Amino acid sequence: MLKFFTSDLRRNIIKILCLTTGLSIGLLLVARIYFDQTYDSFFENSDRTYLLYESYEYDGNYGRVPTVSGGYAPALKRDFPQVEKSTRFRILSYDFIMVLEDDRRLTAETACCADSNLFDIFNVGVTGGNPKDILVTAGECVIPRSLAEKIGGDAVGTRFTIPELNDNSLFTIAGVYDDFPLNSTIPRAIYFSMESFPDYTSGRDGFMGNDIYHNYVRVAPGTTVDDINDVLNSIMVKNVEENIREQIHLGVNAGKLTSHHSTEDSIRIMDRMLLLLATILLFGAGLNFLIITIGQTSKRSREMAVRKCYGTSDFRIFARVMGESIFYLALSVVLAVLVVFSFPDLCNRLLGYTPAQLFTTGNVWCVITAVCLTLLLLTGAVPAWIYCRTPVATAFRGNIKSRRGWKLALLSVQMFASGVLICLLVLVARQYMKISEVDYGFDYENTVMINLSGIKQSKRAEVVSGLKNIGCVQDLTSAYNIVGDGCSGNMVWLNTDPSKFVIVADNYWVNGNFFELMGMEFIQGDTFTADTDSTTQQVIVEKSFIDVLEKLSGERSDNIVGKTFSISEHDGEYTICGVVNDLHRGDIYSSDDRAGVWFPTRKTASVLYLKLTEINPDNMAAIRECVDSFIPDSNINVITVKSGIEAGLAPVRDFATSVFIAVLAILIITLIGLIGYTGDEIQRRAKEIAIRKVTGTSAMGITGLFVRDILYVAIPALGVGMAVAVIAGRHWLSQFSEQVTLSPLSMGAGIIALLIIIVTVTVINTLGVASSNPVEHLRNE
Amino acid sequence: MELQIKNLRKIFRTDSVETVALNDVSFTVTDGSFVAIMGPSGCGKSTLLNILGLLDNPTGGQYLLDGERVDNLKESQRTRYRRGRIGFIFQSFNLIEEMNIRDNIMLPLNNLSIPSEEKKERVEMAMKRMGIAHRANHYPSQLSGGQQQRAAIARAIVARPGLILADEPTGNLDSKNGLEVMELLSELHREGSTVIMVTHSQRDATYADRIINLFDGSIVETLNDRL
Repeated sequence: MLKFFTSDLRRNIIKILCLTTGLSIGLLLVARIYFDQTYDSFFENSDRTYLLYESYEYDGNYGRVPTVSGGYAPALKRDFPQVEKSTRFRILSYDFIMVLEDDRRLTAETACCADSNLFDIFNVGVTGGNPKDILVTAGECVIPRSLAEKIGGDAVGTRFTIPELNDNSLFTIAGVYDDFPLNSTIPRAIYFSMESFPDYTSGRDGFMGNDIYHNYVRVAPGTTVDDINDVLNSIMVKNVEENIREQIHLGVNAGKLTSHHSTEDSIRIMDRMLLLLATILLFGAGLNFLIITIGQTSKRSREMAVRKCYGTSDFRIFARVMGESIFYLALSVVLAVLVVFSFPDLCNRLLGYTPAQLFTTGNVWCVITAVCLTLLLLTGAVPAWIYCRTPVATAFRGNIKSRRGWKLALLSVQMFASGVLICLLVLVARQYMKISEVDYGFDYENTVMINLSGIKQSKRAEVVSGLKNIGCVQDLTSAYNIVGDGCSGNMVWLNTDPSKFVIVADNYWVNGNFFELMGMEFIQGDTFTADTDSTTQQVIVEKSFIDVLEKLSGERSDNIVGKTFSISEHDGEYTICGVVNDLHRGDIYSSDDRAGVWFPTRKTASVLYLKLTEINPDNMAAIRECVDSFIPDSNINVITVKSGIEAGLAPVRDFATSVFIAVLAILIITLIGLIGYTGDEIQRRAKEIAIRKVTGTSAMGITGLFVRDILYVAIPALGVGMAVAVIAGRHWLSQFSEQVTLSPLSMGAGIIALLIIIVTVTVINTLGVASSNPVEHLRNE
Repeated sequence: MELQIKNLRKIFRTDSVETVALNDVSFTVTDGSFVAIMGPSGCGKSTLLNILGLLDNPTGGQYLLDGERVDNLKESQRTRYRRGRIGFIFQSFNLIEEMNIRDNIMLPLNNLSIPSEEKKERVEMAMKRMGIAHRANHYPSQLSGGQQQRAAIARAIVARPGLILADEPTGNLDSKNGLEVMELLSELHREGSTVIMVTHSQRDATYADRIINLFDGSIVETLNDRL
């Protein structure tokens, strides 16, 4: 029954292996792209649900964030009849400890305050109580089912505290909702009523400032985004002062919820790159299948010709070949799924989700089936068409041996694909090196960070005194913000002209020894005076603050120590006591170029920085033990600053690994194709090789013939591949704040390396026959 | 070119069978001779010709070409030795299907350090001599059997080798074309080339100076017709 498979077993196994390699990675990438593209699409009427964004333009910098002041969604519902439903929530905390009444401590992902309409728009099943009632009752909350399962039993009625948010309040779980799917931008949070956290939600109905609310509206069919934006604009004009709107070009506008995730720059670019990889791998695997199948046509055409002689119709032959291809494809899909499911951790690390999560998203199997059907057309219909259109007499004469042009064309596509990927790999690796070598403006060697956000001041002081007693701790300081992270923006002005302001990056408060411990040298002045605290009106600024003062005063002064200014959120006038070099703030995607300011405090701020004699497992364990002794069962992370920085580089490193795996896969596929091609060519040209040898051509000369043939195809294909990689690479790089140059030289080196591999494989594959006795081949003829 | 073979042996071995193809064969071919090797199928004629043409090495014995031992050369050395020295003519012509006649004939010259103009000249002369100049741009499949064999002979002589080896050169031809091919070989012999030909045809053998009859890998008779 499987004679078609066993009759040319070696080639057929290779066909399956190539398809499996391409399918395993290709389908995984397709599933990941589908995952991204279907974010939030499972909610009822998601196509009519909109998210509100705030946009601003200041000092040439344009920004757009998916949070606005809390008043917009309710105002839209009130002022615009087309709005059927509206809701908003704000995030209170991430990764916090909840302490149950029975003293069990559980880590929860997110805590939010939401209004009572949340589940009207994000309609998942809720058990326990009515969410509309729960979300207006102080002290009550709904939790995701996954958390309820962790709590165990019937979680409804269970009471707990969140020390990080509020030491005393006891909250009651009044409802359990079905988890939002993984590909949702709506967090699987504990949703409290806004009444539960009056301090956090006091400005929830405002239209300016406090722009931390996620606002959503569902509109009636036929309503356009422009209609919504017109109303939003009129709400803003009515409620926000004109000078503020004008100065920062403030805007509030709506965007489709289902597009929110997929239109994010990093996701959009990454999905395009993944699509490129997936196409290359799937197409490459399909073409390889075709190359091998065409190599088999000589033998199988005779078989088909015999069938035709005995009356088999073209349709039956077509069906037969298609049936065989379905067999190969089905087997390869099964093997690919097995391979993919064998590496869940690798998949999770590189793509962010396990295969089980990716392959159970919505209708992903429909997309995968469509991909497989396309592959079937390529791998089944093309060979079937070849067999059907080959005349019987031609098949018997064996004149269809060649099809060399076909095979070379297919091989060139594979080489093109390899060229694209190898160049991308070179580019991604260089970009990784570039962002790894960024000068952050502070010294993070032997520095450890402990984030004590949510821990009471008295407890922090205890931790600090404990840490100071550890031998390996050379020095210790604290800061309100994580150094190098994003900062709040505050307005700076001179008292001589309060109408003019510049927005700066407010790092808030640090201890006086912060700059010395972090290796930030003063280029002017010095750190805060020794007895300073938060009431002292001193400030340390970055070098670029010189430009800020120039903008405000109209005069440039290179020495700004002693200059004074006012700043929003901080009362009074401040005097600059020191100037340090600019820090590199932000992440790999966006840098924050605003000038930074620091204010003094003698208290222990939320982020501790420790300078150790040496980073080693023992020292890290000692620090962790000390923290745990003061704050048991905490979720507090003790990490090296270096590892934090490296974690920030993970997206590039993981993409580099993904491209590397894709390169390996396509290289394997291409080289198998190359080996198959040269094998077929050797067989086809056996007589020619023998004759050339008889007439005095050396083994290297014979090998050279094959190498030349391959190079004729490889060089242009790889060249085009490099050009495509340059275009794709430029697009990929555009998302980063620090970009490596698109060096044709380094990509060229990658191409040359690939050429060397191709030539080596060709030489190894042909040298045997080129050195063999020509008599054998002439005898076979 | 003078050939001397002494006690030449060729044994083909497989896992279970050992076949003696040539058994203590000794003879000498003087420069400018025309030798025909005859015998029934499987007697070792082609094996002998392959060894004489340095396409294969003997299992034992000695083979001297112009006094130089060549029986123990490596494959690459044999290839180098053949260049320009030995021309081959096969029963099935062995032209390369993908190359036109001109390129087929050019093949042996590609391995020699000859100016390209001279190469072209030699090819044109060889084609003219064989009467196939008008077919220069045709492919082998577009030629008759006789024309293909003329092309093969042109290829064999284009490098002006001292030794021409022909393996049943008329075996695939009708009598008229066969006769023409033999006339051409005879002409080459008259011009001084050493020709060794394997044949089943008594008629073709009459063109040779000497006929060596092989049976079961041994020489059973040598006839010196013209000496």
